[in-house]
Amino acid sequence: MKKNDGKAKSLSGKHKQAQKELKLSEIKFKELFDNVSSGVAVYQAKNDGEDFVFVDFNQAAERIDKINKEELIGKSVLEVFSSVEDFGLFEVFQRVWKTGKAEHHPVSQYKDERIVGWRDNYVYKLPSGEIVAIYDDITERKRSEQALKMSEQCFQAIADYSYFWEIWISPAGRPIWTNPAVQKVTGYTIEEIMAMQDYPMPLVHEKDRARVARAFRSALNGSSGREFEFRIRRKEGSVIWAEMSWQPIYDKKSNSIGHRASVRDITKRRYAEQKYGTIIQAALDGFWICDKSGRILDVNDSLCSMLGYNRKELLSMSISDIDALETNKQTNHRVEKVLKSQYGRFETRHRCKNGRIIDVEVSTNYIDFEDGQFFASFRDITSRKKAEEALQESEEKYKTLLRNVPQKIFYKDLNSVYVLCNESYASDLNIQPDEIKGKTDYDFHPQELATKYRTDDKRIVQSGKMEVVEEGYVKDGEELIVLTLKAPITDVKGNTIGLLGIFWDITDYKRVEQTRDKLNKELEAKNKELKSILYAASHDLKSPLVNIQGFGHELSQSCKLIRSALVSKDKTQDMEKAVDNALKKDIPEALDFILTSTEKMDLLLSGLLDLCRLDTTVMNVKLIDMNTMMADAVANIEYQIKEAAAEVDIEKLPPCLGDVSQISRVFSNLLTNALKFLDESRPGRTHIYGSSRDNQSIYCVEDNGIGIAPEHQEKIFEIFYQLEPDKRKGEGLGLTIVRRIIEKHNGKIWVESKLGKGSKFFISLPSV
Amino acid sequence: MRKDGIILIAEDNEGHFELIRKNLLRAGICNEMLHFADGQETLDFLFKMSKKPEQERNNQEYILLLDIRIPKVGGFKVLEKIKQDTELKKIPVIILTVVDAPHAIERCHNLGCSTYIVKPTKYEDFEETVQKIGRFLSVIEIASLK
Repeated sequence: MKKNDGKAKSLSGKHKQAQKELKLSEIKFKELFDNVSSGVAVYQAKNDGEDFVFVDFNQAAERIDKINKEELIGKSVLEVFSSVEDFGLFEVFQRVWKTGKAEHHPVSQYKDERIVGWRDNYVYKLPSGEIVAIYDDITERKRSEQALKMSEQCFQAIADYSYFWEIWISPAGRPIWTNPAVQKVTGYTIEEIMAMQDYPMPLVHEKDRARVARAFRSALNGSSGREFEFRIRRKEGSVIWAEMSWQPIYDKKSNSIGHRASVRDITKRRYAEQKYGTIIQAALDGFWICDKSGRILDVNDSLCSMLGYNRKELLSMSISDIDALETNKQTNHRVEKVLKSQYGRFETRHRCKNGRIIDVEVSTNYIDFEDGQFFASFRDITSRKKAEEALQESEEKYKTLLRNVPQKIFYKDLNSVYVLCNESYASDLNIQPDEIKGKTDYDFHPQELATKYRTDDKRIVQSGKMEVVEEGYVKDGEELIVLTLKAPITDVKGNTIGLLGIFWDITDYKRVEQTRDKLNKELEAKNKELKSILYAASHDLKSPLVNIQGFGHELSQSCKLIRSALVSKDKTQDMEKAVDNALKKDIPEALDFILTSTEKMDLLLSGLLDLCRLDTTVMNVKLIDMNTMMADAVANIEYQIKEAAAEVDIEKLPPCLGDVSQISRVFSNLLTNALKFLDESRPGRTHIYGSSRDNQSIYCVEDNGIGIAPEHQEKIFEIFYQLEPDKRKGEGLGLTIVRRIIEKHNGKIWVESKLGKGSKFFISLPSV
Repeated sequence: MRKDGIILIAEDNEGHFELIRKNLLRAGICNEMLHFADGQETLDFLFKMSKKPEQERNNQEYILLLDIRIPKVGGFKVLEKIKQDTELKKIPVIILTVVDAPHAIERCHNLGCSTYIVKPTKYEDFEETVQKIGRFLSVIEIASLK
């Protein structure tokens, strides 16, 4: 200040000016203080920096700390903000007070019972000694920072642990960041990728480089891409298939900050695709994929060759263009069914390009992919169908054959249980053919027969050889004979799997056979008889012939003798004796023998003729009254009976059927025989009687003659057999003829005799 | 054969017997000839004779001409019976028959006949055969019955 009054007046004017300027500056400062956005707190140090008391506090601070200025003016900071020491700010106040140097207390969280928040503090000392703290509540900022950090961490985690290889590329095409999966996918480490010159080419397969380069360029230009498949050449050299998708990244101002790409190893998938693709492509069956409306989306080569269309053609067609059997409605119905159950299997017919219709077996599955697709495979079963049809036709033929053939046919399993049979057999058993299944012979036939059938079955199954047997069979209670053919049936390996049987009734045939056999036997017997007749005849006729010849010769000898005697001049006594002998003995004897022999031959020949005639004579068969016939026969030989001084008794005789003259001859013969073979020691008595039994009449001619020794009893019926030849007259044919006559009447003759006692000749003849 | 040997002829046909006898005579055989008309007679004679005491038999020589086809006991049986007897079996048996069947020839030989001769049908041959038999008989030796 100057001593001059005028000067004093300018001094007080300057003083007033200075005070005015100070007031303005205070006001400015106050304005600033109150309106600044940061909180400002002014402290007065007490006790040389032991404590700090609030002197001023701005609005922003009030806002931040939520406390009024009035509440804290004059109070210690420690009192108002109890945790200021823990916060670390108090220490800063003290340092600043001591040193006078301003300090920045970095962002920290202040927390006491009243308030919590993040504060950023700037502390300085005023020239006047006050401590000023300028601070901001950066809680929000901190929160968002943390949130960002958290989200960053999340994304980092995701990126780090992602299976996919994630890489961020700068707009210039250089890798900015990549996740650990890169090593798994490419074999290169993160560092190697980040440092890779000419990224991405070193890790792309040579053949795909051009494509990848194009895609990379377009990505740099801001394009997006997905499902881009290419091959990666891994660090160690192996090749994998990868699928990549990428998008550009923009900042807030929509500036491109590069692009991100996500790559995954699809080798397995590719392999599977290839595998299945190859399988389908190489499959013999045709294969197509079509959508829900039936449009064909994909086909394999087999389908093309099956239908005759090429791939392009088929891809422009739909089910209705191919299917030749179903209408659209049916196809739609089919589609619905498959949708419901997810798969279907059926047969249908397809029309080929050349118009030919083929039968196909379809197997189709529904895949819920995109809008829904049907995967179907087709097998050409035309030939199978044809074979089936042919088989059916053939089966029909055999079925018809089986049905209509009169033979009975059946099929049994290895245990003799019926599996099937034909109509003919079934009707025998009074069942339907299909009812026989499961039954056995014991259900239908008598036990004995069933056991026999089963035994045969077992044997045939074991031996594996076909057999033809004649056996019994019962139908409707009637016993028949059948011829059964049983054959084991084998499978392709040769194991027996069953038994086929065919049989038919041969009862009539058998009967015919029996008759034939009987006739043959008869024929044989007759032939034998004829032979023996011829043999006997030739011998028995020879005998007398020898005599005739012999004695004829003797006669000529005698004649020679007489002639020589006659012409001789010298008649000796011997000569006379010889002539006499010749005339008296030799010649008569010779003649006698000759005549006897001729007679014998005559008889023999007559007898033979008789025997022959017997076969050709027509029999006049009628009921014979045996009483009258016998009486007549006896009457005829009455003379012989008287001469033999014998007696003949006839009892009441039953009638019989026969030819009267022949039967009469029979009994005449028997009677004359009885008279021939009388026992000289007693008078001959012949007894004739008869009886009836069943349809036969049995007669007996009984005598008391010499009887017949057992060894002769059969022989007497033999032709030319004579018991006592020269003594009793006869040619030995009588009984032979008698037996022949009886046989022709279907009767029987036999003899009972005791040597020395007599003989009984029995004859049975039919009476009905 | 000695002149006193006896020729037994079993032949049912009388005529045949006569012819045999005549032709044997013509052949120079004048031995005694006995005729048997059936097998029974033949056996009866032979067995009766064999039972006779020795001195009555006095070394008699016998030979039998046997026809198979004789009644009562047949020729085979007669042959069999003779050959079964210790003494009688020494008697030579000549079968003389019309039967020419091989089985009959075999059977007779099995039973022990000495010879089998078939009677020829033709008389000239018959005559000749019988005469040959006669000449045969004249040269043979027979064991006599003791």
